[in-house]
Amino acid sequence: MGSASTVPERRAPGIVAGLKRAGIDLVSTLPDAWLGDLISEIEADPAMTLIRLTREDEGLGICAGAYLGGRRAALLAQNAGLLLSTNVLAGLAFHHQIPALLMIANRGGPEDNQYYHAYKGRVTEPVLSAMGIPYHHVKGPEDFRLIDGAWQQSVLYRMPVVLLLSRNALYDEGR
Amino acid sequence: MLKRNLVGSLFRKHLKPDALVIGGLGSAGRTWREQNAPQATYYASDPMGVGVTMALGLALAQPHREIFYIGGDGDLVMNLGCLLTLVGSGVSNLKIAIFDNRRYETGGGQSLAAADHYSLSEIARHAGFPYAAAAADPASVEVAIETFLAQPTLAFMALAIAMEASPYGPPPQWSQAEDRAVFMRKLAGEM
Repeated sequence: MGSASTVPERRAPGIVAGLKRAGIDLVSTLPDAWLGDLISEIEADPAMTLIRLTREDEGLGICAGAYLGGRRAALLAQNAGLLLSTNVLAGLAFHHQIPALLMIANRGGPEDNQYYHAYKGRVTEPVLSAMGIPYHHVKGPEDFRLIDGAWQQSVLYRMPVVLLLSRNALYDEGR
Repeated sequence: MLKRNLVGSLFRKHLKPDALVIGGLGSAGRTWREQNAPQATYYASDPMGVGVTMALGLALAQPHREIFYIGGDGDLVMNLGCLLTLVGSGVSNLKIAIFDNRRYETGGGQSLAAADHYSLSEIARHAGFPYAAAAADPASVEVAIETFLAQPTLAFMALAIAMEASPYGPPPQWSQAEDRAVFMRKLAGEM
């Protein structure tokens, strides 16, 4: 009788493991509700450095400076922050030709139920496509291998690469 | 008020030879370039507003070296919140020097917003910088710069710079990406 219950699995450890496989130990962030557990996981890990931002494009500056100095860094933010950062993103991609990994909570799709996120879901991918910035969808743990793959692509292309994180990639709701 | 070249030459004189420099865009970066300083320097160029955090990233990547940022006020105030980010990061190996003339000098000398009202050093101090100072007097600026550079902490200095003509030069020979590769190879000891 009754349905089998499932125990939610935390996604954050698998994402941090992916960052470590990529050699990334520096993450700057501006929070989003979907990112809370991942930010806590990074902050609690002594092998990782977490930098809190006041605007997301600062984080791209940090990624760029870290790369200049030989350290690998990522930005962790919502897609609103990605949209805000487009000038810096284009500057790193086409002027400086500097790699960076952007881990972006992809709000505004079918997993969201708020009007104020919907516009972000409608414009994020068209904006990235128009800019010529590579991006990949991370829909769940089966896609975490893309984290180190995206970093490698970023280095080979000498430009930032974006991972668009679905809610299911960040939280297992046990369904 | 201070002449740009005086300030640039004093930083060249007192900055540690093994320091790494991030030069901002506009006249501050051009002033540093004109010094032909021995320190490895990367010019942040555009996009405007991220030079300071680029210096922070370098400081986080090279924690055992002194990182020096020299840039303009217009560039800084485009992303003034970065001062909080710097303080929150906890780095101690980063010095921020700002040419404070309250003008977009390269753009034609247009005034910054609230140009007659703010104090950048006070803003930095209240953002939590362990050391924040201002310098405006040519007679005392060398001591002020020495004191600033000797700080063992994150430090900020606003330098009141007199308006001078600052025209664009000709197109540089090397692209930003080529300069970036040279900077990184110098840092790696390959050049």
